[in-house]
Amino acid sequence: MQSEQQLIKSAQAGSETAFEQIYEDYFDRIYSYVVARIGNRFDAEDLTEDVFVRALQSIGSFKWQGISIGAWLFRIAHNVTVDHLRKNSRRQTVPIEETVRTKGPSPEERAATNIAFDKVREAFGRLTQAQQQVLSLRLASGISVAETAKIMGKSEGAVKASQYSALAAIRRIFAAEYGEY
Amino acid sequence: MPPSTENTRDFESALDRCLDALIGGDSIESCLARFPGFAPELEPLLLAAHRIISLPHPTPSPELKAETLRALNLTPLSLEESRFQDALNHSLDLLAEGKSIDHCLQLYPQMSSLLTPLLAPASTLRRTLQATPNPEFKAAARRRVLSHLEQRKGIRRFTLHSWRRWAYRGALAAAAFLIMLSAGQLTLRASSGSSPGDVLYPVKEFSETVQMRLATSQEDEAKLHVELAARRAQEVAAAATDGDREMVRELLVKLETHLEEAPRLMNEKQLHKALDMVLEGGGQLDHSHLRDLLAVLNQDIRTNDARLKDAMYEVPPDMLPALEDAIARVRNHYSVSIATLEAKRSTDDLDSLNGVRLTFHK
Repeated sequence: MQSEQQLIKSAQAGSETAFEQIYEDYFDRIYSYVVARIGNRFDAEDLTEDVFVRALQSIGSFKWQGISIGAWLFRIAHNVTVDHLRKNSRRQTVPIEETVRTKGPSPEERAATNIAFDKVREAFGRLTQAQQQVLSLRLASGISVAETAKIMGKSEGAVKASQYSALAAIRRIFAAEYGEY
Repeated sequence: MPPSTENTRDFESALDRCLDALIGGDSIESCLARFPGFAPELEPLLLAAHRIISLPHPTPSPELKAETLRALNLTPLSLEESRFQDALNHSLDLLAEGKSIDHCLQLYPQMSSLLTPLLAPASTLRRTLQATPNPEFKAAARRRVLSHLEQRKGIRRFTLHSWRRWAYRGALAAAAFLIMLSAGQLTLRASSGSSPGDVLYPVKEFSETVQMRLATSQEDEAKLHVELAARRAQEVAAAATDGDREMVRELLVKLETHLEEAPRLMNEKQLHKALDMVLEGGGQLDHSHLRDLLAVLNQDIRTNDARLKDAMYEVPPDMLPALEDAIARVRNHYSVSIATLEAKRSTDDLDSLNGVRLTFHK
């Protein structure tokens, strides 16, 4: 198993195996992050692919300065999603529910799940962009606080405070709107 | 009668003082009584200002205030707050590992009343936000991404080692000759109109590779890339009509690579020419190839746009969003290529030379 530094060097030299390993290591988490941020699986597929195409095009300029390849990829993913959200701010998108939860045990159970799902998405959409980013990284992609801090260019303390305020805000919305938690 | 400058200044001063007084809690009437000469002009403005001042002011949440102060390092966290945030953070890590909320609460029993209301929505959010990619899409995307790498590697290989390029061209020319002999020119001709998925499509792809390798100059290669981009746009329309979303994606990646390569090759060529001019002691850059290429691109952007829009009437309804995105992406890539080449053309010959001279002196 190559170290991350060796892996990057090989990928920069044009090694298909090295880039494939980076792809395998990060694809699922980047995809989950993009879906969380934009809420539409069709677009998320295109955007995730775009993240890796951009990474491939600019991996030559990646410099090993303490920032991991993962943090670098998530920064690209952040830029790609922000561009997408800006471009599509007025365009109607397919709600995530229509594309994600198409298989359920029974119509009743599915309907119940859908309601909860919609509530959660709606509440999540009311958070600030920074709060959405921190929760997407921490909860959707399972990224550590240390890595999240590097991706967001903040201190670990600021990330912890941000995730606390984001969860407190979600809880307030749930309590006020739906009487839950 | 128009107001004099002095009069205007007095009025502005009266308005300022009245606004300060209103913010301080004075009534509109008392302000007007202080400046009776300006009362008719002041009254509507003060009424509007009063309405704005009376609006309820939004107040930030206590958490946001606390977070901002902490971000600015104005208030250090108390030990309890710090411990609580560490416990919350650790619990979120455990949830990510698949542990239950109860498990987290057992680790921090003294904080359970504070943690529970945050971990419950965190767990719901985690379940809602997490998504796993479709394995088929993931595999197809891997192929497309890596094909980008292959294309770039191929291009670099042929640009860097010219002797190998000529040797390879020779071999390919021989191979093409043999194919033409065995398969016949008719097959090649028939393949030119084929679409992805057709039996003859691989022949078309091979003939394109051969054409590319046989190009004798960077200008010719650039022209061929533009021609191939137009072919890919045509195929995008056909694939969209067939409802083949994966094929549309693959073709768009190819189209974009062709459109990135054309300006890159022209840029390299112009730089080499400028270098030759410095070595030879003068001359003028010839922009005719750039002009020709721009003319083709400008024509193609319109033709492709019209062709892809026509396809909108024929595609299955669920393909419409994908086709709309494809149209936007094709248009965008053409525009970027055109803008890059336009920028190159508008660069003054002298600037190019100076750029090269500067590089030499470094």
